[in-house]
Amino acid sequence: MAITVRQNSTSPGIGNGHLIQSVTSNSGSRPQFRFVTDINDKDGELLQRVKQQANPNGTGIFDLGNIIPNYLGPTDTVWDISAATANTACGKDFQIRFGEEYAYSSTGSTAIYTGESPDAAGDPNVSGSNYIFLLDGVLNSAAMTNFNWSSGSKYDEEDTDGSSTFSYQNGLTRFNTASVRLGDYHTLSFLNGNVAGVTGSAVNNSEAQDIYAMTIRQYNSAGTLLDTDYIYNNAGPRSDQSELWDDVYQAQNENTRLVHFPAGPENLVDSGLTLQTGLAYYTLTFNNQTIEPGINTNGVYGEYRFDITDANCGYDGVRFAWKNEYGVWDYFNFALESSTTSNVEREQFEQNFVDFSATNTVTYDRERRGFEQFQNRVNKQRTANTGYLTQDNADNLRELFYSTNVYVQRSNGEWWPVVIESASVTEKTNPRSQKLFTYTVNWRYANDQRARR
Amino acid sequence: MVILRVRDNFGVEADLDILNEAELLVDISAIESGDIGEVFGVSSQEFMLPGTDLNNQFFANMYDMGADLSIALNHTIYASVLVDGQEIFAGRMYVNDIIKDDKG
Repeated sequence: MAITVRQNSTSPGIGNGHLIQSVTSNSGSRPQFRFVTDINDKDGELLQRVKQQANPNGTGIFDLGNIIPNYLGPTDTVWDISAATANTACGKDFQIRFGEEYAYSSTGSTAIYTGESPDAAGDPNVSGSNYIFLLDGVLNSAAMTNFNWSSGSKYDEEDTDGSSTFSYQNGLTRFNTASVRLGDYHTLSFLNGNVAGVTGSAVNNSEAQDIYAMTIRQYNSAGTLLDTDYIYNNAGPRSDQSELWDDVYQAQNENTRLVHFPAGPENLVDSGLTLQTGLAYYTLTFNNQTIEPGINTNGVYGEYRFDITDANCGYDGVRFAWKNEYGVWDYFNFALESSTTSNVEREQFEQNFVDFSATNTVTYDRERRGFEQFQNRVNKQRTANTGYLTQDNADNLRELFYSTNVYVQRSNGEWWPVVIESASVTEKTNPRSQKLFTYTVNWRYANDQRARR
Repeated sequence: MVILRVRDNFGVEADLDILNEAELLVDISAIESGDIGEVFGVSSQEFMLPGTDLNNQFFANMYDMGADLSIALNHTIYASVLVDGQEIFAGRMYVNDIIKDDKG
């Protein structure tokens, strides 16, 4: 083989990070030699070609983390879903293919070769992984394992016969508990099925992160179970809960590799569930499948708790949703006082009391203006305050301040885009005096009021 | 609102993201209009585009020096400036320089 892949990104991964690929070639001494890397989409369509001369050690090292994020997103607008919903753009399959370019003389025309052995002209075709599924999230350099995402924290393949016992917290969020009000929307997203980069025909049907169903358990304030309901993952590759994983595992694609579940009180109501009288909190438990088929209650891919809260001290609060570090939505209620300051920029001119443009005679008119404001531009600056936060919630909320994609839930259930304007975030700096603390965030709607004229 | 509509030599069209309206001058002064051919007015101007996903895709990610097929770097491409949907300039544009950091 002409091209040898020494290092490649693993699947699943996160797009906005260092996606390092390293290749060598036994054709490196050819005139005008360059390594060629193609970034293809799920269907093998070329998105971007990158070329590079071999370094002094004969190696080509590509960092595709600067390019691939351009092809991820926008984040799926799934806030108000009422059933398990397949991924659209929160994560995508990319096919990375390596090849080489050279000529037979220093002045001859170059051609691109597949990188395979024997040499053959054609598009690059050597790969370290059939595909890589990348989330539209962000991965800091210090959080990597050998230039890859430590996906084991959110992706674990288990036996698909439902015989194994395990307990993970693999939802793509850092919030394990949340306070929600009736009427709030919320979603939880999971990697689903086989995401390890193996070609469809080579997938092992006996192992997968099979998110089969979500169990909703409603409790009252005494902790008594009021009701149990289920929402099945029929978003794909299953289209019905009666199907076994073995029946459907070949039908996976980038849309099925990530699934969004409805999780907020309003999502559950929309799905047909009845919220019980006296509901104080509910839990959502995600399980894989048994071969009956049924829910393997011993196999837990995540359990999340939602505490029902009323308007705090009479404040309606503000509910934010933002794209988190995994490229899916996180939510949080800023439950205390919110305020709005309207700054109005006024444009005016002074008009003469006498109408010199009158016809025949000048009418004495007390209603005629002197000063006239001909354009008033309204700039509404808003603030929202959290209640007292736990350290975990305070840490997790940093992503809200860092996110470029933030929305606010309106009282009618619509989500409107906003921008966060806080210039800086002061995190807990003195653990002795600041056991609990709050955040204040300045924000404004992305679409401001139209100027009056 | 100002729209910058472009078409590369492969026929790919895009409405590029622009930083703000002030970046693109859409008026022409009396001096410039009186000295057409002598003074380089708004008919030839330099402006900056933000590095959004859309812009990066259109220009074939050429902030990455190895990215192949640079768009508008060593040749000009068709471009027109529209204000509220009406075209007020049409001509050719090319890329002067690219600003990036090591995180792209």
